[in-house]
Amino acid sequence: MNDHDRWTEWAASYVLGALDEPERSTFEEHAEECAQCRADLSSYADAAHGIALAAPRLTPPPALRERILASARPARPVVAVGRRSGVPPWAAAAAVVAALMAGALWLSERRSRTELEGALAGATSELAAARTAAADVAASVQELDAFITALMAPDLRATTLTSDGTPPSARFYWSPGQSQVVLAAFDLPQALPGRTYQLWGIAGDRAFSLGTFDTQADGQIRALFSVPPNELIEIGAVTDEPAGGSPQPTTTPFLLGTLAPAI
Amino acid sequence: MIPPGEQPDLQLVYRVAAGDERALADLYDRHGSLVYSLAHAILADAADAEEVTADVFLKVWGSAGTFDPARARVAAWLTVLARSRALDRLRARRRRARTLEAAAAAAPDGLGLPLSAPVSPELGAEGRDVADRLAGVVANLPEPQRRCIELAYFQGLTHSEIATALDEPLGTVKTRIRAAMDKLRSALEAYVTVE
Repeated sequence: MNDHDRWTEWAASYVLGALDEPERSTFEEHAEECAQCRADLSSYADAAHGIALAAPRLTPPPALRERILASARPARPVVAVGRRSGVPPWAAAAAVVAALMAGALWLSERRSRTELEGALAGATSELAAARTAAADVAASVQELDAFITALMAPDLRATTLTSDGTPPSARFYWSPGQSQVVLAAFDLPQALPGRTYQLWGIAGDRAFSLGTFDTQADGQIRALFSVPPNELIEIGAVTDEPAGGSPQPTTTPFLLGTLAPAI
Repeated sequence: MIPPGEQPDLQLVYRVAAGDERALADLYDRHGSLVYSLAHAILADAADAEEVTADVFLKVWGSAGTFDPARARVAAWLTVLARSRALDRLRARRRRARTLEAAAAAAPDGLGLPLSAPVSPELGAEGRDVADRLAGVVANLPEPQRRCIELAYFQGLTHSEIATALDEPLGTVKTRIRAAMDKLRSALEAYVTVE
């Protein structure tokens, strides 16, 4: 066996979920830092998918299809955080987006303008792709609306979460009055399989979870988090945690920032 | 490189994310059989396999927006969802049965051998092509390697549980899994290269 051979052997079993503890945790820690292991995980995951393809193929009962479609109908995917009744017509929705963009850009401080433009441009292009479904447009507008409402709060406080001033980084906006945090992360690679990022508020020596998130393929994410009632945030922090998140941080924060006074 | 058949899958997932029921139906028509067959191979029960299949497609309906094409192909995503749900059910069943021995006893030659059956001719041309090749690779695996893979993939057992079930040393189990996975990986790489 060469130096890496044991890890490769573990990778082959990891994708099957066959590693016992403590090998599993040891492997996950190692794979985080090891490009070879990540390549192995990717190719072995394809091999595992191949096992599914090789299983004898059965035809599901015809009634199952209709049952699934019937269950899906009332439960539309909803991306909106805030809800409004009624579906605005497309033209009105576009006007609302334009107005909200203008308002948010005007309000934001200069250094966060580019980030907001990026986030809003992303949302707007998502919106354009959804023209075919008016209800979907409404959902996107509501999501955008929730972001902008949070970012327009008069008591908005902001900080940059970073390790040493270089990427990855994230902008962290907190409105105490609305008990909401908006996070915009940049150049942050997606969490490894079985892992997630978790956002924390820290006050004194206490950390409380604001929620978990992952970035998109381009290393970015914008997300809205609710702050538990009556919590004050002095420091924002991001840790890497097992999928599903942890009640308290289990790793050292790799992004950290102290909240500045209201902007 | 986008594998054969992936582009239409991706478009379907994006349309599902936008709430298009027709796209969900199309995605089901393309992959429902794969999901159902995998669940059936794990659970060996038609009613349970139906429940898992319904769970998977309703999960897709609710969270297609979180699918990331950079991380996995659509079909691979579906099989991961199906396998984890089916194994959850299998484990719940085992907890009820209390012991792993009961699970082993339920399948006298070890395992039920879901991989030993011939590949069905009902797949589409693309799917059948890949599945045929893989079934061939799997069929040619030495029996001990195939058993280890089946226990891990279809029964959700870990190294130590497989070693106990087969009464083999732990190191032997690890080596067999690695060897079998390497063969599958090489076969897939050869397939992709031919494409």
